[in-house]
Amino acid sequence: MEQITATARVVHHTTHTICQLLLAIIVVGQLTVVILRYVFGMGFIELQDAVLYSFAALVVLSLPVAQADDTHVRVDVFRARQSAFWQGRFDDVAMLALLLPFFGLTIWWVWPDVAYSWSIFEGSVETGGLPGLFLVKSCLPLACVLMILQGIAGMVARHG
Amino acid sequence: MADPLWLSIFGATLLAGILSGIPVMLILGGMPVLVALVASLFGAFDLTFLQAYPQRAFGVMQNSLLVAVPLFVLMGVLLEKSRVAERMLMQVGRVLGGSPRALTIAVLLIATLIAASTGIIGATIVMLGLISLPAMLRVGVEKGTASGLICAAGTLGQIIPPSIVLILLGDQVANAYLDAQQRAGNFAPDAVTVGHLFAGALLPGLALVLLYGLYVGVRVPGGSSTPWQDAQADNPGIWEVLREALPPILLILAVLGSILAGVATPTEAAAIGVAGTLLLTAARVRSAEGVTERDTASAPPSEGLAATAVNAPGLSGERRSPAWLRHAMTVTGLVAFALVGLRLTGVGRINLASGDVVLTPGAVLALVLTVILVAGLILAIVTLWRAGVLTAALGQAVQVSAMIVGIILAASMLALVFRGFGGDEWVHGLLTALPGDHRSMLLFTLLVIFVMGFVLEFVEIVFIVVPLVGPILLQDVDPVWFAVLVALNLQTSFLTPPFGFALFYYRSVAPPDITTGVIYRAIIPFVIIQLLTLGLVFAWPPLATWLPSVLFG
Repeated sequence: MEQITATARVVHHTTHTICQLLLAIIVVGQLTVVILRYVFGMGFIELQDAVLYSFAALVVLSLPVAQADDTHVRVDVFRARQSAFWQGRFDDVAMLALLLPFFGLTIWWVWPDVAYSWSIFEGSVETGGLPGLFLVKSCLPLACVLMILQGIAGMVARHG
Repeated sequence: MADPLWLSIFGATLLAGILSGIPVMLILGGMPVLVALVASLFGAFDLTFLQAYPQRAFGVMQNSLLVAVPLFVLMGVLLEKSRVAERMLMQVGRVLGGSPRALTIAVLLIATLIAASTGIIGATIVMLGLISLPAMLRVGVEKGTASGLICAAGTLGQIIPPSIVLILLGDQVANAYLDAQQRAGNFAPDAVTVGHLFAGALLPGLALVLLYGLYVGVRVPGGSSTPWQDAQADNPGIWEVLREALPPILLILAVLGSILAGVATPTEAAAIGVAGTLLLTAARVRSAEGVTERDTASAPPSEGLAATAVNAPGLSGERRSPAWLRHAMTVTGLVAFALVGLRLTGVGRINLASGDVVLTPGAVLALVLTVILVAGLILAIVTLWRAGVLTAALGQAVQVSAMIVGIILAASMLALVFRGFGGDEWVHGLLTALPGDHRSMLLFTLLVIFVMGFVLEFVEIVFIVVPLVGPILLQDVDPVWFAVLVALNLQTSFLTPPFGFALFYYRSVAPPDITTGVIYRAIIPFVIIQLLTLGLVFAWPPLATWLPSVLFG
């Protein structure tokens, strides 16, 4: 039990740092694109792709970060009046009945796509773009696994 | 085939789930899967439908328009952390004199600026509540009026461009419009862009500000009842005020201007906005030496930030960063505008893409300016990183954008299952069965969105409703007009008691003696103003469509 919590915490910090880096890449990359384009009239498809890839990875990898920090938006009208006990039970139901099937099945559905993407080492759709789109696509099942891990860790923390 | 029984079960479970307080993202994504699984046991749902989900998720991940979202979020977070708005409020309030009316108008103007620059409702309302409420109460503005103004002005970020709502709406409306026109037999419709929506929302947004201003102007007495505490303490010159107010105004004009001029995409403009915000923030960051030298002596940093800033602006609120750093940031900002100027006049173009590089004097100047710009930006980034501001801002921006994209990802699962139950045919039947022309369809849609706004955030509504009704509605309705009406409508919905989101955010920062009842009563006049503006745009579409047609032809 404690191992799960400890692992989840380390994974959470790592994911959060990666997400911050990805956002930093998006900022610097997009700014470079703007300066190159408007001052020097140049454009690098690789650079634009790097920004887009970072964004794609950020979209899914940030989900488990927000899950672990409990910052996904909730409607508080009734929750504010629930006791801590019932809030916990609702979160347990959410974990078992919603999070687990949604992200578990997404891994199942996305598997053929990602496997195919790996088999051809799929790259950018743009000619002259960046290789490695298969890695970006793999972030989706990875993020699902991380969501489930953080969901379990949250549940362990509530009952530990 | 529409399936009324399962559709109503679907709707009821979603509503119950959302109200239960479970994260909305899990409800919108997980509940459809759960209901679909149960329905498939009764043979009412074909699970192969859901195998399309990964393609939709990849579609969200690879949507280049959405890249603007985390950038604008980061810009908002940085502006909040640098407390640029707070200082502007103090300065403008002092210049306008101590009268309650002047201060109230100042709050409205600053709120408009913050709204335009951050576009995050929750953040704007919390910030305004912390900064301006104590000041307004102190000069004798009635607490109801002050509360109503903060809530209403805080939601302006949704309608005044550049706004995240309009970016997301732009994406959805453009797709729906294309679909609708093809259904109507027009295979080459004019494209609708985020720029069109920004231009369309500008006049209605400003009309709202004007009407709010008229209302509080009439409501709040003009005479100076209690002179503002520090009005005599030191009388700021116009230069002081300009120094606080001008940089943020220029920043917003730069971001908005580059989009409206059709030069930059929203993502590029957002990157420019982040760069400007980095400069602004670096010029105001509390440097490590500054804290040890002065601030520990005069005011402990742990003390309520808003309170110290408003009570003793002369002591702790002023010089955060060393003078050379502020000047460096100013120079960098000026250089950026100089580059734009060079580019507009056409002298500063260095075309490295073409083989022969001709170094005209203009080109050399542009090159030098670019080097200064990049150096200034690096200096800003290093300063902020060493002060710990950058890491914190990035971390917070990641969480806020995770909340937004999480809902987008989940809403696409919801849309898939809704379609699997034949929901789109049901909506189609409902809309076409309405008596009257497309205006009654539009009114009905707006009503549905208004009600949905009580329980859902704007992102869910945009991604659920627009793809459903858009393809039918936009065959006869102007897309920009439609989008502006939806945005205004959502904003009104967030203000309307008892479920308005804006009121919840405000409740979390308002002191206990401002009861929920006071807030609810105070907001009513503002809701009426909202409905008035909505009616105005509905009755007179050019208010929304004139500016885009002038700008984009």
